[in-house]
Amino acid sequence: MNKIFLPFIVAFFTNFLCAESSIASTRIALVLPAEHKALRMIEKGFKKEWKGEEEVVVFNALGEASNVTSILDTIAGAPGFAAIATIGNTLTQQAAKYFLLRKVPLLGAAANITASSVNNPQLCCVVDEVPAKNILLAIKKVAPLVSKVTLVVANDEKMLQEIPFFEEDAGSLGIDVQVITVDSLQDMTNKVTPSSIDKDSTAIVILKDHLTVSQIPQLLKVVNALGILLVSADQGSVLEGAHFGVGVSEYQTGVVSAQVLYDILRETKVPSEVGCQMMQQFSTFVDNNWLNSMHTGSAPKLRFEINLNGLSDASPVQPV
Amino acid sequence: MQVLYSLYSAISQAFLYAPLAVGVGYSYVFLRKTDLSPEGTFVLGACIFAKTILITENYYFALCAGMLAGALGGAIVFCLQKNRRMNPILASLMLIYILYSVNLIFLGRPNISIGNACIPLFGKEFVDYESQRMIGSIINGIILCALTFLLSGRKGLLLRAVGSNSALMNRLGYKSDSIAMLGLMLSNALAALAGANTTIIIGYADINMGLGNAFIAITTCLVGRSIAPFKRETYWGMLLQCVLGLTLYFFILSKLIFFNITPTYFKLTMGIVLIVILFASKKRCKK
Repeated sequence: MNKIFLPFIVAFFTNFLCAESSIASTRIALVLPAEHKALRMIEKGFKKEWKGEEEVVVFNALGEASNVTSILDTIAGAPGFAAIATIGNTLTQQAAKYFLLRKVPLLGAAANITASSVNNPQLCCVVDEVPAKNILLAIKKVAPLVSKVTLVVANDEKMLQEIPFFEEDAGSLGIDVQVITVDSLQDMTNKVTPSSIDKDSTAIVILKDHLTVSQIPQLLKVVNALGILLVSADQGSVLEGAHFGVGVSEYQTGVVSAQVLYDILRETKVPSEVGCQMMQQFSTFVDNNWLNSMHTGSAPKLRFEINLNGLSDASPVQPV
Repeated sequence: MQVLYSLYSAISQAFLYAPLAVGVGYSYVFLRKTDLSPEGTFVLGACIFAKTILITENYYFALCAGMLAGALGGAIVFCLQKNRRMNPILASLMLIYILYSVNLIFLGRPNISIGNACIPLFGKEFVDYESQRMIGSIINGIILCALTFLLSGRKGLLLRAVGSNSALMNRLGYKSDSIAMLGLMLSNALAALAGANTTIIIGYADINMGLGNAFIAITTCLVGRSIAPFKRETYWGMLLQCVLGLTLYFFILSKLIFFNITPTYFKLTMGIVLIVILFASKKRCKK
């Protein structure tokens, strides 16, 4: 080893050893699958609500599978992690498998994985999905003459399962559904264009999936060109630019997740009792900029009349 | 203890990714072709493995199917670049591009869960993460050692000779094209093996799980070559260099995660650390 390389290695390892000896004894790990505004809102709610003396340590996988494994290894190898909270389905599924034999309480925030499907009785989830009917009712209140909506969803297992329920709920309200499934970002550019949307469609509806949510700027161009609405199923999408959305506040999901995990750690509840806890408080999130521009008449023109007061009829309105 | 656990974790992850790095190393060092296609064949191996294990519930059969698909990918990339019809980098990027659709066709959707698929071994069925990771790493290790042993003889020499001077090999009566194709098939089959074993451990195959893997493979291969005390370009040397490079990479990764580096600076920090290691060892070599 030469003069340059050796000090570098020594400094690196000494740093690790010193840092590791000064770890707080009890901690909670909160793992984010990627960097996203909505995920940060969940984190904010979780940290704010956490009442225990345990320190909440946040990890971020930055969307890479190899990072997830390293994060789970770091948590497993470090002393004092009393519980693990993960956000999203895939991450929760992987964590449930990883900690199967370690008997660490696991909480999947904004996830819908049953303990039996992963054989891990230590797992419970906070489900933040909103019934399709709530979204459709909000659209009907805003645009009473709606006869058709276009549902744009990612072509993945979870999303595909939601399509029949969406169609059923829409059918019961007398609304037709045009379904467009997309595989990738590029696919989205090719498949979701002004010419591919049915002429009688009143709105493009997107559900909670990363693929469609990450393409909101492109979807906005399409809806503005057609003069229709962009409606979502979560707060994060409205933050990104969707006109309005019916869903659960990301912050509130973090708050409820912290409460559930706290109860489990204080043994007032067991994970199997909690199971998949559904979020109950739905809000209508409205893009404030869009709302203001609609009032002043500077927003891109819609091709049908809308009733903005109808927004508050569906569920409490939260300007975003 | 935490350092030891990090080291154990880095070594087991290194063995999981070792086939990928060794595969890239074979084409880069011995065949002298810059082949990025393992990024695509890693996912192809994962997808074919996931689909096959769901149908047959046989881990070993699914593993072979995944590797075969990877080898086929290698043959295709060779055909694309044969006789300098296409630049090797462009050919491999083309394959990655095509494989995206192929993988989607096989999976039917971008993400597929393989549930509680198990690895049967000595009459026992292993379903938990730790056992599967251990067994997956051992299987990778055995396959790599067997292959390295095989290539340490005459066959390996032919592969290296084709990389060094294919024209001479042709004049000597060897079919250099066939040997180069076999080399690329081998390299991509190894990448597919890494993808298949990653799938069984994490429990799902995803269309985007290969993102950044070519970078990991090439970087760790170069880092391993630069920090290893042995510099001879042998197959055993290559295997050890790749494992060493991967172990260091995952060790640094786990430490950056441990120190909770802000996501904004994470890749920047990782990149700087790798550059420092490469530069420092280059200076050492010059001295």
